[in-house]
Amino acid sequence: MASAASPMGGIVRSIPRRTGHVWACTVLADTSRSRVGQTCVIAVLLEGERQLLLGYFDTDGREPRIGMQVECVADAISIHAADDMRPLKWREVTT
Amino acid sequence: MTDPVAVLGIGMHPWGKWGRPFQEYALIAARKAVADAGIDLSAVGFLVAAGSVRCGYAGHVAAATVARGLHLPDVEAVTVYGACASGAQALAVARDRILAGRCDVALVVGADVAQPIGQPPEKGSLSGPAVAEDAQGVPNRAWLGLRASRRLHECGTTMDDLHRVRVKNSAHGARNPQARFRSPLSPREIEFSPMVASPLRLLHISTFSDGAAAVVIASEQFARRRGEIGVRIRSISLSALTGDGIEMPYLSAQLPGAEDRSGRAANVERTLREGGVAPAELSAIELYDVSPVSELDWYEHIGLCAPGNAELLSRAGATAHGGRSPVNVSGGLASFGEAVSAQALAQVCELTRQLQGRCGARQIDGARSALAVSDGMYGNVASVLLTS
Repeated sequence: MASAASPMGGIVRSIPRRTGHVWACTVLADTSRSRVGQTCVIAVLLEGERQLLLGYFDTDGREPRIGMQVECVADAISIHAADDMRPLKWREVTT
Repeated sequence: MTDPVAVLGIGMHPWGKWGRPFQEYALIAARKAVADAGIDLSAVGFLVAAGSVRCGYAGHVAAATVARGLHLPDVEAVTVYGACASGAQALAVARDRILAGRCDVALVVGADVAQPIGQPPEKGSLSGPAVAEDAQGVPNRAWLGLRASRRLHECGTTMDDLHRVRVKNSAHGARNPQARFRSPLSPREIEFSPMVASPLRLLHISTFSDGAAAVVIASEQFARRRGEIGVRIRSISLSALTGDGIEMPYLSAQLPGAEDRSGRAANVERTLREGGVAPAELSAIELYDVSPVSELDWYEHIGLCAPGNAELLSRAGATAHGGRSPVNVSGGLASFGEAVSAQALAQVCELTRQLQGRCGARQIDGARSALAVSDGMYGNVASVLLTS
């Protein structure tokens, strides 16, 4: 897994796997980082994973819930590197 | 069963955000503890101090810094750091020294300064994987939110359950003149505080503080020569857990929480077994309530209830002052904010006061045995059993 320093001082990580079922998730409303706080960052841990998915909250109407299938469309994301983040997209498992 | 060591004296510098160097706090706490012990500094044969990377280079060499400040030029001294368990690790090193017969009296000091929340670490001071934000690119509270989301999913925990823990601890803290935050909170105040990391709001999560705590301990023989029949440390267990689950700064969903939970339970089980005390016999417990979920998890690790039943214990009021297993009667981290390297020693100070009957309005009647549990990054976990 590659990582490199971001322009904002954080770490940008390549995400090895981009789809899966949510094992745990939290929406970060971090007001101390205004650029991040304004957009609501979401952290998602997928089943079977050891790496967080971090990205913008995709406002298609619903927060991801545990058990829901999500799809990450970002190449490299970090909470420090707001410029690098892309929306996380998800769809509910119907099986 | 291991021989006990005696607690001769305790001392604390008030918790807060004072903006002063950590050694100022450390020296005040140390001098208070020595005065409380009624000994001369020259009786101290061993010094252990816990500082942190937040304290600059003086914190990296905390024991030398404290020794110099106390004018103890020839004292044998050791510095330790183990995240939130630093104070307990320092205490364990001093206890082992005494039990090995290498000294009669040891001074244990922990002091720390708060890092501004949400601020990136100072350039150069916290580089590498020293903090979670560096290691994973997310702040601590993301881990707390993730763990909370998982407990809510697994155990049917409600938001009322989370509020209840925080309301309890704030009510406790209101009775403690040592606490930094002494206003009782209502569920409504918590519910309408700003969201930080869902489902956790600002008033669910403990903050950071400056602070220092110190403890003077001695061999049983030394204590008896002085006629001391008071508080004893019966056992201490230290762990560096590497389990799966949400373990700052690591995490894994492969084995949902199982391994890190059993590691914590095993740590406490060792401590209680060595001390010959059952969970139900504990008069007072101080544990790490960095969030209400952390506190609920620890009820189960300690064995106060079966896994998944912590909410029932809390709803019954069993862990409140006056309940059968009072938890965080000091107010806990919620009422103090965490001074990381000092917090585990602050727990020992509080429990010593309880066992000595010196807690005033928050005194637990007939307190005889007490457990302190600390829980930090990189799986640093410790538990300390005290009796009177």
